[in-house]
Amino acid sequence: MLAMWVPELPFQLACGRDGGLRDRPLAFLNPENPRSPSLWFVNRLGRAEGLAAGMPMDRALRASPGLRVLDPSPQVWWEAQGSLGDFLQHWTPQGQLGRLGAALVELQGTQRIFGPLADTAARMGRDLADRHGWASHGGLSLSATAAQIAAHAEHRLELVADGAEAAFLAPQPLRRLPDLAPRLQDRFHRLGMRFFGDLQPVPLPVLAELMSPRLAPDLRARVRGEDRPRLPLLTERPGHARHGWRLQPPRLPEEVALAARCLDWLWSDPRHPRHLTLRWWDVDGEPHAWRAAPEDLTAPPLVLARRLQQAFLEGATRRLLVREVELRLAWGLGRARGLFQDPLHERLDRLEPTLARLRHRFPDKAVLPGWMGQALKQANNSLIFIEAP
Amino acid sequence: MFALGISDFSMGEGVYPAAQLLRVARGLGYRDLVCWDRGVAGYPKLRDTLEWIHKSRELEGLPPDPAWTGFRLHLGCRFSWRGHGCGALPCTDAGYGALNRLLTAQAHEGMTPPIPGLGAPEPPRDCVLLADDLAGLDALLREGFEAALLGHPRRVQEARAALADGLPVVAPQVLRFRTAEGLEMHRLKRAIAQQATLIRTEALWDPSEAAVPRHDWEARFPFAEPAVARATAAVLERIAGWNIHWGEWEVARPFGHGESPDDADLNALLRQRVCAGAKERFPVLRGDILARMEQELDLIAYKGFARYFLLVQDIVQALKHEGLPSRICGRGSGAASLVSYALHLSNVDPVDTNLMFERFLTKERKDPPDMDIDFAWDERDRVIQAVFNRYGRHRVAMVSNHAFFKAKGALRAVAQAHGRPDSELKQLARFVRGWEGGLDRASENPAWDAILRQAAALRGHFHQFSVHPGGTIVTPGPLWEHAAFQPAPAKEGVSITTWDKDGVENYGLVKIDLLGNRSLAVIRDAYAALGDRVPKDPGTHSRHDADTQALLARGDSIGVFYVESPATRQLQQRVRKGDFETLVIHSSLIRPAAYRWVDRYVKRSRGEEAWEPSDPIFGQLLSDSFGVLVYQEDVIKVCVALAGWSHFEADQLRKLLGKPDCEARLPLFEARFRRGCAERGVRAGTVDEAWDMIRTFTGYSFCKPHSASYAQVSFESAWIKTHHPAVFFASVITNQGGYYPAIAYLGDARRHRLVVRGPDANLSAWPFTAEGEQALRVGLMQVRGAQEKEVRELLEERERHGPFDTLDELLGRVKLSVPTAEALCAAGAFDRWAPDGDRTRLMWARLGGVPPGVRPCPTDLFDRADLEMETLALTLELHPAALARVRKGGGPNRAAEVVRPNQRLSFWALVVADKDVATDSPKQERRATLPEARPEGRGAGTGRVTNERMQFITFEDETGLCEAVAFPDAIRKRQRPFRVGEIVCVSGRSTEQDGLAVLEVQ
Repeated sequence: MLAMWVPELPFQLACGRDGGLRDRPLAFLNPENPRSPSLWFVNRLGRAEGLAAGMPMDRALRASPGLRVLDPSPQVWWEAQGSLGDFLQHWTPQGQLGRLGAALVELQGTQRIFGPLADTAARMGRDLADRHGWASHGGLSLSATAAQIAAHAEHRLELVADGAEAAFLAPQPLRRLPDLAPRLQDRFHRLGMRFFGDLQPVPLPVLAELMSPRLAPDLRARVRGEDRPRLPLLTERPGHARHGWRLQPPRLPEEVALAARCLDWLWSDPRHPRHLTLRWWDVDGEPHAWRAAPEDLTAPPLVLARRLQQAFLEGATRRLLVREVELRLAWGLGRARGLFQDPLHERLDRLEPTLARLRHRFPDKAVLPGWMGQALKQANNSLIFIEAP
Repeated sequence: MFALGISDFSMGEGVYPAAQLLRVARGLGYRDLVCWDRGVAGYPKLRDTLEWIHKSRELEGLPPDPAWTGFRLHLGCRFSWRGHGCGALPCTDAGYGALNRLLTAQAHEGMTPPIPGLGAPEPPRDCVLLADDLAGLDALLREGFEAALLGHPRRVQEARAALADGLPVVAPQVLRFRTAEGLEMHRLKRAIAQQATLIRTEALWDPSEAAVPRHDWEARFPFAEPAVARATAAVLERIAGWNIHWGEWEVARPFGHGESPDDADLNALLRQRVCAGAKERFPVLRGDILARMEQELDLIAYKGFARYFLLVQDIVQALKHEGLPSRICGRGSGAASLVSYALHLSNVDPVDTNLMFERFLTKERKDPPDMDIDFAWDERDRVIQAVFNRYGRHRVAMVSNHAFFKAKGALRAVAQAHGRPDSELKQLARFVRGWEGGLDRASENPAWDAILRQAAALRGHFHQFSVHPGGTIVTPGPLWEHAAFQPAPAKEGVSITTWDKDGVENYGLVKIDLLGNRSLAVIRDAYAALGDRVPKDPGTHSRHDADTQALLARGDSIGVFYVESPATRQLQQRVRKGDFETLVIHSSLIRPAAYRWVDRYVKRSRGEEAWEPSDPIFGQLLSDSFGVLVYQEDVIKVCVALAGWSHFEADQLRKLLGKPDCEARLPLFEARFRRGCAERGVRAGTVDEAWDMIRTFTGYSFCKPHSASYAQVSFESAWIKTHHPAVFFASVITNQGGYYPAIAYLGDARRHRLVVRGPDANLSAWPFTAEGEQALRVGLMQVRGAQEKEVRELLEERERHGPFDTLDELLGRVKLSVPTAEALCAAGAFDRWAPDGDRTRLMWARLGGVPPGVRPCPTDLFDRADLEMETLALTLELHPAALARVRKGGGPNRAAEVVRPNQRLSFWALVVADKDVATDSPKQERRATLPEARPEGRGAGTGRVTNERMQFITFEDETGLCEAVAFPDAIRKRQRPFRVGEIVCVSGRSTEQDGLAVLEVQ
């Protein structure tokens, strides 16, 4: 498993666009408080000069005259994250994007294509630098936790040998364990356990007494470097679409013409959705969601849009304005679907994960279900056909 | 003919405040107005407003206003019955009682146990009953009630049908609103009441129901129908023949004394008890004491007030067998009475302290005075419940508070009705300071225009009911014979009147204020711990104790009741006196009404400024306070002496000065005051000076008996601190009382050379305890994260079977959950089993010991301090400021160095007190460095911008306390204010003002 980390991706992006920004303290302007400008993110050089997030901009500029304060553009960052995902898909179908600039991918099984894993990982790092100009670090290990922590060691590529995960993790501070609840971290601290190595010998029953018994085995596996998570497919992204609508100015729910807007969205892609979720945010940031029931999804778009509007009005009962609405749609792999389920579609659904992997692996070939035409199979050997399980 | 007026007390409907409703009714041509709200809560306000219209003319010395002469206000009310809208206008006392009974029964419907004698809600007899529609009329008539249809031109068919059937129809106009804006306001109020948005709210009323001039109304059907006009006139005739009993004092007789119109027996009983009590109170009954006693008893008998004193005494004494109340403190104007002193209802000798009985009761006084009794805070709820149980829920109620919309509340309500979020409100709230001044800046955002306009229109409108802090009334018979009452919001088993304090008093119901006081619990607990070390008469003893006076004179009064705030401590230090009389003055002088004169008082009291009264009368009246108005009585005395007013008249001015709307009414009193002075030939300069002092004596103030009562408690509390500091601090922290957090009290305890010992599973009790005279033990109550039930089980087990030898034994005898064991261990409660201070090892004990292969990191000094801050919110070995200094570096100085003036200092400190004020005057730049001189809005940082935030802060580190001031520029630079509990590295310059060291934060 390879963990990749592109440190300070937003700053690397900025430096990529403007070479003059390299090797100087940089910071992004806080977008939430324009009246009294303050810093949002600060890069390493800036931090070394005593700057910190939240510092007023005038003080920061006085403290570090060479500081360049950049306008934040999260849209670019998200696109960068998307690019990272696309890049990784070229190497492996399984993976997971983490926080900005971080990713975890499964390289097992790619040896026949790309050669030894360590070489692949090194090539990936070089390739990323060549294509995007991003410097990255990698951690290669069978354990996801060990790989993630190794990536943060900031070597170009940190290899954790098979069986050496526990030894590698042992001296790491426990606070580096991703997603460890602060309350639990406090408790471990009070018990004198500050490093992975302190927690590794703790028996499972004791651990179960200290935390939720359901989560204890997972934590134990992680601190010992025995976690082997099954990563999802990176290719699932094309099957999703988000339609966001920022309401300017925010409106009362009754004033949001959602049905019309929703109909536009539904018609913009003729595929029939499998999952449809409406999310909206009040002006104070409170999120709300509504998920369409299966029977709603089989309704014609016009009916579906009206139901959506109705559900929105029933759900938006807080005495607040709505600031943002978003419709999330999920389809299969680009097939148009009829209004009703039939056995054919069910078989197709079962095939889809395999289809996705194969299409990704053989991008230049048409991957089709086997029933789609024996004749075609005979006529063209370059086609790949698979049968439903 | 008459109109039915709906005021803002009809929650979620009415759009007119009292004064506006009266003006509308008068403007439309009516001379009779019936209060037509849901419930009768708004009646006293309407009545009071109408009376003020006449009174203001009288004060100005003008003849009655012809426009208002003959204008009459009647009582009525709307209610729902079996789903029909109905209304009732009482025409006899019985009808009034029945109406109150209906309203009370409806409010208490479904409540268990039911209120004795209340019964089911039924429409009242002896009232004119009106039904909104034919169905309602039909239902009333079928049940045998006499009722009429309330006709309206909008429901012509209904009225015609009723007339055709021979049913009575009346058509007084209902004044709901007049204009489209009024209807919009009605919708807004409905939206606020229903917690809905405006867009989803529909009006209850129709645009065609707008009020019209009387002659227009009477020209239209149904009123134009002669039968209807006659019936309406007949209704007016019936209701005009009855007047509510207003202004007659209603006091219950004490428990066990049956109802009797003659109070001769009670007068005799009171005299007997007072004589007996006076013999106990005074070693020698001097002539002046006897004379005052006679004078008071005669006046009490004349006013029929003996039953009130006996009732209060009965309430206090009836609880004795339950061990309640342990201590009481009679305060307020009632403490000026020798009778209450003799009955042991107050603790200050009014003769010796020169307290003015006229502040409490005079012959002319029309509104009934009340007594305020403080109980220990943890006993007060039980005391109130006991009163309800003793006299019955049908005779007792607490008094409600009527909350009117304030600027921020109105903005919040309107903005929520418009669907605006909290984040915007917070942003806006920073600009809003009251109705004046702030809203202009808020209106810079055009999106807020409509909201601000509507919020401004809500000014002075009724908002909601709440419960008075302690006001309780007990009536001779069922309470509904006098007033309606309803369940108290968020108080189980307690009812409140629908009228507020003023309404209740003006009607004549005499309330008793039963209030909670933490310091009484502090003194109670301390005396219980001290046992026979408490002097026989602690009150007198403490007042004359030289050490106690010295402690107060040097302002070393942290933890001492009422004089522990930085402002009061510094006042004590500046004046350098700690005697009882001075403390009485100071506890009143520090209140908002009198603080304007603090500097003048300090200078004169120290002899730095000569005080020569401009008129000998000031010398006679105000010599104790060096010519400064300190007490409410001073206002009364000046008015009586200069303008020749009666005590009753002067008391009305005194009452007005404490009210928020006094600015509007004060000029009327001024005219009368000047007229009175001129008639008595007082010099113009004297009059100006006197009125100038009276005019500025606005806001919250004390009367002398109140100050003296509190000073008495302060002295007892200070005596304990002086002679038994360990017991004192243990009691103060246990009762969570006071101005400062627990850690600040412990800091002060250390400065009094006490050893603070940590919690211990074998030695600590639930509360904080004193260990000898030199040590203080932290109680287990302080341990956060430990479940109270489990800790109490531990204490019980220790009590039953003795202390624990080992931690394993403790864990075997008491089943502690992991979080509780962890919290106790982190707090250091098990430290006795780890002499090296390693709490980590102890924590593993609950988990069966350290597993093989695990080598936990031991706890060091800094870890222990961290753990203590997390679990106890205090530290035992290391001050949090010292910890921060070691961890983060910097701050080379210490707080104690502030005594050297003109030094640049930088030190780590804990914030133990903060007080925000707004700057006001640009000219007073950088002068207000003492909290005394910080009337809201004095001093400014930059000298340019006003209404900015500045702060007075008290810092503490291991070397001592440091008072500081942060001007607006310092707060701007820091970007946020200082808050209690923060550990900060503060930089500033030490200054000296008036002999006191103050740090100016930079």
